[in-house]
Order: sequence, then structure tokens, then C-alpha cells
Amino acid sequence: MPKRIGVGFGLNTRLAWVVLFALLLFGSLLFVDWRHIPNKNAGSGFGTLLTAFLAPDLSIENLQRVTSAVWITVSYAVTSLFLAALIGLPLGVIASGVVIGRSKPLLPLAIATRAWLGLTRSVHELIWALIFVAVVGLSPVAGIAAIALPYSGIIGRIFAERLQDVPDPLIVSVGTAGANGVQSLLLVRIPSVLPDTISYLFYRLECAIRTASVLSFVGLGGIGFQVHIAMSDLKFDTVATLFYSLLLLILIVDLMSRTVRSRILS
Amino acid sequence: MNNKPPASVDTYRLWDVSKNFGDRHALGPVTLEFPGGEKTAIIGPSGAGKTTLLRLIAGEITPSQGTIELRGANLESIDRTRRYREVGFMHQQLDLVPQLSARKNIEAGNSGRWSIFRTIASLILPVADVRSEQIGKFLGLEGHLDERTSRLSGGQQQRVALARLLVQAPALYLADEPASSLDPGLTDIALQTLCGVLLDKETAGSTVIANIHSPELATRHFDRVIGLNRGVVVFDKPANQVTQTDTAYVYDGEDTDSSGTNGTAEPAFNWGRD
Amino acid sequence: MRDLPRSTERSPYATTVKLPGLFSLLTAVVTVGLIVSCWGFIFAESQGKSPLISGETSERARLIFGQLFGSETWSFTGSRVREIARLVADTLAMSAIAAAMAAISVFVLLPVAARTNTEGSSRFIRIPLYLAARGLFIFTRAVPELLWALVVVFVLSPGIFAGGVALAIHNFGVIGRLGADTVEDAEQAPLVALRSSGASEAQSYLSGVVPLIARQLLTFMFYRWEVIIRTTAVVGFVAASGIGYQLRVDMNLFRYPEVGQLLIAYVLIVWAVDLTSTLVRRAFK
Repeated sequence: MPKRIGVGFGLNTRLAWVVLFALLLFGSLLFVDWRHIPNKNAGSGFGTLLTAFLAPDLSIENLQRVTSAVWITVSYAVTSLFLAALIGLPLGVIASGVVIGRSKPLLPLAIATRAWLGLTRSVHELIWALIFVAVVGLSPVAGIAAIALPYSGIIGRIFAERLQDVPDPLIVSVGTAGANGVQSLLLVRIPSVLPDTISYLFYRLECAIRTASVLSFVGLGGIGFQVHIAMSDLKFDTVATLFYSLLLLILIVDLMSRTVRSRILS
Repeated sequence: MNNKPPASVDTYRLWDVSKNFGDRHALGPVTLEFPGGEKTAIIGPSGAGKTTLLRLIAGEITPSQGTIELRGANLESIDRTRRYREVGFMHQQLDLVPQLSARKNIEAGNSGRWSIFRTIASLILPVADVRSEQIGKFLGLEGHLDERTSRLSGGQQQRVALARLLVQAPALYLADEPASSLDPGLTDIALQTLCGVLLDKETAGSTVIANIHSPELATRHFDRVIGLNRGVVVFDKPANQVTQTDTAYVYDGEDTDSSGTNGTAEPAFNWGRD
Repeated sequence: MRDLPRSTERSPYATTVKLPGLFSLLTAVVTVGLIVSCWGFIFAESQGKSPLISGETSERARLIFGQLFGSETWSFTGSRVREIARLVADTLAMSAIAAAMAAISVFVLLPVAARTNTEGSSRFIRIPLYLAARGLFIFTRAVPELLWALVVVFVLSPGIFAGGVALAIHNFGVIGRLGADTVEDAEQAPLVALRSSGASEAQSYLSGVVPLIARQLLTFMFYRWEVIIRTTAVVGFVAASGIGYQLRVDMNLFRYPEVGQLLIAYVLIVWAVDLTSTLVRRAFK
């Protein structure tokens, strides 16, 4: 059915949505304790922050500190993502049921795996971090596990969905040539989803960098930790440098993703 | 229908077969016999039921009524893991894997014969399967074998799909419009290869049933021509006896094909990411 | 063709082996190098600290989980339930504020941020504005919500509003980038038609662009809400509001049964939002 553009939304519908949005916003604002909002810092604070962001601290000493923090955060991000992919992708294959799901007795395994993947992803990494730190102590392992666990969940789930979405005619076609479930997985499903999966993993790397920078709160060192310290010392130009370094990291990952993607497509 | 003659070991038979998709009556009832080694072309307008017929013989769909026998054995009773030896099917839509190279798509025809380990080896190790390569080159794909299939032209892709079928080398070849995107020279090579004139070691003695878009090509390359329209056999003759009247009767101008393209699609967020 | 192997014979392998290109080799080396050095660093840092799975850690895990979900956890007092309910409401409110503010800000900036046409004299103003808008999206997106919260809390006192603003800033970048990309990728023809029939920029925006993406934007917002709610509960850590704050307090005091109760409430909220979001999106399809 051809979609008509620009004509489908009547004035009433649009109005309804605007009203709904406004209600939502203002309704939630009722919850806010307005008396305390304007901090003594409010006006000047904002101004100070703005100046700091326009003129970040680029001294050698600061840059050294920032670089080491960046390196810590990147290490956490890369190692946890690597682990997450290592665990998540195979689990995704199982959860998708494209191979396992064909035999009746093994179907519950696929469903259980699917449930497990969804479960781990429901909880935020910071909460996992608290739990792991309580169990393991303040070790990098706690941080890695806290990121890898939920990330393996979402990676597995997305992978499973993508595998299932491969068009049936392609599968049937190799099936007639004699391919069994595993062969059609290797020859059709995985090659079909590989380019998108690689971009998705790069996106996850981006998220992992952000998450790792936040987890450093918990005491493991990294960008977030340094931001915390800098804010406490009111060194806003340092904070600005740290934020810009995050921006740089994200841009680099974005660039890598685009290069690999264009190369895969060629 | 009664009095079904006993199954013959060297014949392919559809007995009183019909197929409905919900309310839509697509095919039948038809009763047809294909002796082993015969090359048959099926012609008819779009929507006549040609593809449905081939899909039934390939076992992709089951008949609403009737039985299908491949060399004496009921299609349903043939072990699924052995079916690749009996019948191969080249889709009209080709259904190749766009992200793979032409070579890998062609090699996929070996899937029935190859073990899982052999398949893994073919994907990881940078070595080529000689037979697939030779068939590919024979169809004029030399130099393009390692290109991504999605980047090949329509005609090249069609030859990749045909090569894949040839690599499989089943007893019965089914092909749905195998040469519709090829220029005349290549069309001749393709159809002659399929019908065993060229590459005759394997295809010479095998049975072929192909949907052909042009009656002229059908009569030129095949032994027998069947005309199909609206799910019913209009005529069934040896190729050299097909007349202009027959052809005109089959293509009576009614195109019952209901496929079509949609209007502009809505733009989509790439929001599957999280 | 006399040499073509029969299908039943083992096909001989080709003698020429295809070597991977220089670029792939380089990428592989860099990737492996990066992964190895990161692991090495982590390994070095982990020396002397306890491993993930050991007798000691599993003992502690059993202890903690026992306290988290032990008998004490399940005894909910009336006042506790009310307290948790208030926290849940605060958290939901925070997420709503964040979503609404982010969406509205994006909506306002979208005409500038989407490169729909760059001809005419307005080019010298439009292009820098476009770059600034896109740059703003990338910057706000790059910094995670909790780090924004650290900064926001300095300007606005801790509370729901501060948490909401921090969430909004980050999500502004996410939604903005996606929205602008979608508008750019969308069909230009209807918009061009509108403009050539005399509509002003604002009119063509409202009647052309908005309906085009409104539905997608809305469904995306509900999808994004799932992600936002998970982070909202945690932002409270820094912004001192909602479940996150209480979680931090109870965690520091090692009051595990209370922590367990909050975790249960948290998971329930996430599932509820998940369900709502899926239902709404299915209704929209």
C-alpha cells in the first residue's frame, strides 16, 4: 500500500500528541522540589562551566593524567567487549534456534538461553559492578565482568534476532542443494548478518567506552574517576579536557567503524 | 482418480496433483509423466502456476491433493538428507547470498555432498573447489568469481545460480527462468549446458524441467514443451510439433501475475541498535 | 571440459592460494595488538587481587545473595512499600522529564540539523549552524549520563530535575543524531514539491517533515525509554534522587535486604517499561 506523506496527520491528531507531550512534561515537573533548584551556584556556576568548556586545560601535566585515564578506560572497554562478543555471539546462535531449535528436545535450551540473555541485560552495568565489587573486591575483574555480562546479553539477543530474520527463500534454496541446519547457518545466515553485526559491535564498543568511563566511579580508575576528582577540586577546565577526550575516543571508534564497514562492503 | 499405474524406476510423475494457497487455486489437478533423460520446457504467462509446479516437484511445498514420485519413490518418503541427489532447483529470484563471492555461492551447490568440516574449511581456507571454478568459468564468469555477488550484473548473478545447480548435479534439474537475463549468445550456452549438449558428462543423461520465458527458446533447446495457463495444462507436445496456434493459445494476453512494487517506503530509524 | 571432475569424485584443490590483502593484514595486526595490550594491562592490574571464581568469592557470593534475597528481603513493611513506591514514582518522573526535554529540544533543532537544502544566500548561515548542531549532538552523545550528572549537579541542586537534565543532555545527542539522519535519508521529493508550491521554510517543516518522521520518532522514543529507565534508576547515584540514590545509601551501609528490595523494584520497573514499550510499538505498526 503506498504511503501518503504529509497528508496523513490531521490537525487533531497532531494537537493530541502535543498535548500529551506537554502533560507528560509538566506532570513530571510536579514531582520536582522546586524550592531547592536554583543553587547558589546556578548563574555563576553555569558561566564558569561554559568558560571552562570553551578553554579546556591542555597543559602537559594535565594531558598526561588524561591520557593515562583514557588508556585505563579503553582497556576496560576493549577487554569487556571482546569477552562479551566471545560469550554473546555463540549464545545468540543457540538462542536463535536456527540450529538447536530444529530438534524438539533441544528447543527448551534455546528458549532458556533467550531468557537468560534478556535477563542479564535488564540490569544496568553500574549495579552489576556494585554486586561484583561486593563479591570479588576492588579488582579490575569486577569491572570487566560488570560490563561483559549485560553486554553479552544484548549482543546475543540482537544476533539471535538478526539470524532469524534472514529471508527464508535463501535458506530453502541451499536446503534443496543439500545443506543441513549447520551448513545453512555457516553458508547463508552468518554471511548475511556479518556486515551489520560488525557495525553493531563497533557501536557496542562506543557504549563500552562510555560505560567503562562511568564504572571508574566505583574506584577502578579511569575517566569517570578523574572527572569526579576534578569536580570535587572545582577544576572545571580539567573536566572539559576529560569530556573532550571522550569525544575524541568516540570519533575514533566512529571512524574505525566506517572504514571497516566500507571495506567489508567492497 | 483411480487406476494409478505402478511407479516406474526411471520416471518422474505427478499424479492428480493440485495446489491451493488458501482461497487461491494455483494449480491442477494435473497428471504428468517425465521419463528419465527427457528435457522438458514449460511455457506460459506469469501467474500460470509454472513456479508452483516446480516448487511442488522440488518438495518446497506440499500438494493439496495428489502424489509426486521421483524415480519410483514418493517424494515425501525420500529422506531429506538424500533429497539433494534426486532433485535440484534454481529459483527465479536466484536467492543467492549477496554478501558472499560468486565462487562461494557456486560452491554451495556441494552442500549435500560436503560434511560440515569440509564446509567450514571452504569458508576459512583460501583454497578453491576446482569443479565449481571450472563450471563458473565455463559459463563466462572468469575474473568475476571472487567478486561480491551483490556487485555482479543480473545476467552474471543468474549464471552463478545456474552454476550452483550444475555443481549440485542432481538426477532431476529444475530451473525457473534460468536464462531470462542473459543475452542471446549466453542464453544459448546456458540452455545448452543445462540440457546436456555442452558439459555432457553429467547432464547428458539427466532429466530437466525448466520454465522458459520464450516459446522460441523452448522449442529450440528442449525435447518436449508443455503449455500452462491458469494452473491447467493447455498442451503437451514434442518440441518439433509445437505450432504458432498452440503458443498463441497459451499466451492469451491475460497476465494473472499479482506481484507489483509498493509506493515510497517510510524512512526508517536504524533503531535496532541497543 | 573433458577434465571436469564428476560430482561424485573428490574435487582436487586449486594450487593457487588467495592471499589476504595488505589492508586486512594491517587491520588484523592492529586489532590483535590492541586486544592483547589491553588484556595485558588488565592482567597486570589484577595481580594480587582475587580472581572472579574462587572458593573465597563463591563463598562471599553465596553470603551476599543470601542476604540480598533472604527472608528479610521479602518481609515488606507498609512504610517501606510506600517509600519504595515514592522512589519508583520519582524515577519514572525523572525518565519522563528526560525523554520530553530531549525530544522537544531535538524537535526545535531539527530544521537546522538536517541538511535538506543548501542553496541560496542563507548558505553562509546555514552551514555553520548545521555543523554546530551536528557537533552538539556528537558531543552530548559522547559523554555518558552519569558524567553529565556530575556537572549538572553543580549548577542545579541534586534532585529529580538535575537527574532528568543530565539524562536529557545525553539523550538529546542520541535522538538528535538519529532524527537528523532519518530526515536526511527521507524522500526529498514531497518536500521539494511543498516548497515549490510556495510554502515557507517553517510551513514545509511542519507539514512536510514532521508527519514524515513523527511516527518513527514516537516509536523510537518508546524504544529509547526502555534504555532511559534503566539509566534513570542509576543516575540517582549522583543526582541524589530516585532508586539510585537509595541504592547507594543502603549499599554503603551494607543493608543488603533493603538493597535486595530495591533491586526487585528496579527489575519490575524495567520489565514494566519494556512491556509497555513493546505493546505501544506493536500498536503503532
